[in-house]
Amino acid sequence: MKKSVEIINKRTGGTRIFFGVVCGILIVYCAMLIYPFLWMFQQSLKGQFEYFVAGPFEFAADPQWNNYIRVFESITVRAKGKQVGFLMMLFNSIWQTVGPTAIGMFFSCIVAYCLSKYTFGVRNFMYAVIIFMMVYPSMGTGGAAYKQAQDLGIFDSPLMMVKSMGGYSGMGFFVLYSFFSTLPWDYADAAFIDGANDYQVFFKIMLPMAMGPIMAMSIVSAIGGWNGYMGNLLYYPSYPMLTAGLYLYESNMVRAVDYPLYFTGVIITMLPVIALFIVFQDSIMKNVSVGGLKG
Amino acid sequence: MKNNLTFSQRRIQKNLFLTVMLAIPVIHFFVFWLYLNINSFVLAFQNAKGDFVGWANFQWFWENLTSDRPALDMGIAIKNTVIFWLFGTFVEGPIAIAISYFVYKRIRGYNAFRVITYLPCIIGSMVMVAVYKSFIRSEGPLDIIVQTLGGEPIPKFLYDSRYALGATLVYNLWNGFGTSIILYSGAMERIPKEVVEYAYLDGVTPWKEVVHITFPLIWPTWSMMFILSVGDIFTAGGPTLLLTGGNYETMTISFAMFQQVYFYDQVTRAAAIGSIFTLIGVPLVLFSRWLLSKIRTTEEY
Repeated sequence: MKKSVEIINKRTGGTRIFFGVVCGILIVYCAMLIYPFLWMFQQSLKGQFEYFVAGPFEFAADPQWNNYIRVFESITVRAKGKQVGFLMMLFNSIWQTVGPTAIGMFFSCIVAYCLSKYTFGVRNFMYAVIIFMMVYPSMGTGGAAYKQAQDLGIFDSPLMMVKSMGGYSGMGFFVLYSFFSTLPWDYADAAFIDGANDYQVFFKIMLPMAMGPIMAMSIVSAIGGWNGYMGNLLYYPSYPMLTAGLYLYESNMVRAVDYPLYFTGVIITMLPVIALFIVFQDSIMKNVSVGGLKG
Repeated sequence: MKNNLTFSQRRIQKNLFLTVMLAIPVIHFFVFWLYLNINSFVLAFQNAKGDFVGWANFQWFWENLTSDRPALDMGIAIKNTVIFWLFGTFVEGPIAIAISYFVYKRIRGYNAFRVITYLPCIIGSMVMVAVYKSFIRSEGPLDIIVQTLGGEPIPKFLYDSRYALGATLVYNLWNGFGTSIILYSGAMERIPKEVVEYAYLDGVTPWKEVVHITFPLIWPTWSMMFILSVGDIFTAGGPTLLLTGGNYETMTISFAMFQQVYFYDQVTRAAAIGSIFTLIGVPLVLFSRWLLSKIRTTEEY
């Protein structure tokens, strides 16, 4: 085995030079991805007017570290006639990330578990419907969903989270479905003999065993939720998250935008996901290689 | 407490459990998927007040598609959407496969490349766009670099019809590889070592290896990605709202729908646009599945 790896990774003459050139290109590309963020951090320490007056590569003459405190007081947007501050946006981001993720994962577990571990009349039909939904090119529902939310009275309220109660679509379902499928049923049989019922088996035995994939999928889903902005703009006009709030701030203030402060807000917005990524990097990448994550 | 339920009692218990557990997801499906999809077609024939208006929304669509000075340029929206899809499939896709190949070949620093190219997926488009916009603004860093190298001041890329679409494509190119690289390099890792080993003993070049071994063997992954992208073809685009707001000839189909709902409160017009492209999308997906099933790789592994 070791020998074959050696052969595969052994490079000679021209190939070696070629790999060296490609490596150089990749380094440049990665620098293009990373440098702008360092630059933005550098700019976030400038004063509002210094940003325009001083050259774009110059460091702040007097670093304004208090931008990281001021951002909580000074960035506000009008949402449905009310002023929403940065702290409130942060709070909105948290509940609109944690809520739908937790609800969505819970129902994904239920549907995946029931379909993989029980045989019942409409089981195959339900599975076929789920597959169909995945490939059906549903372009049309944006407008209808907006109207439906208003008709149901869940529009612009935390009740919108009932929309996460499906649990039957997306990669979360498929990852959990394949996980539960491979989980031996012996544990359940043993518990049934001891007098446990189906609920106890699910909540006390099966669910705890699935915690690994559940956590991994939750993190992936939470990152997507935290970064989302279009759904938030559409369905929660009174509850702007950090992403949507900063977009509104930048586009509504036009000439009065305090860019260093805006950059400070942008950096604060990305810190939680960067932290999550650093901690859970391996399990995120592993799960993406199974299902894919929409950016 | 030992379990002495009879078989039929156990069956009732099981069915009750399934009913309780699946009730909410099933209701959810009927309300938020089936009804929604059907209602989307129904809404397309109504106005904002809910009156039946026949084909008016479709006529509005047709007028915007064919008129010389349309309020909403559907022609440009369709053209751009196709451009975004082609660009994603035939420019970004091959580059992603190439990078994946080098990651798979353990090029120096491959792990760092894999992680860094994935970062944009983690960071999210709002942040990425904020960085991109400030970087390419006039008198911004890019402008200064170009001028220092003796170039002219750069144009306002995102505020000029000549460049805005290109600038959006460059944005996609800048950060759009992450997920594909992980998927493709994962698929390449599963290629049997023996196959590659034989090729190496025969002195294969990297180019020949990609064309004759690597790509044919990651075909299942590629074709799956391709079919999913055909299903999403009409949602192709960049973060249009954040970059240009759909101005300067950067309109796309999906942004046109968003715009009708979010800015103009024209839910039924959005529903009409959606219905039209759903109806075009269904045969397109079926056709691409049929086409790909005709092309088989020589080896199954």
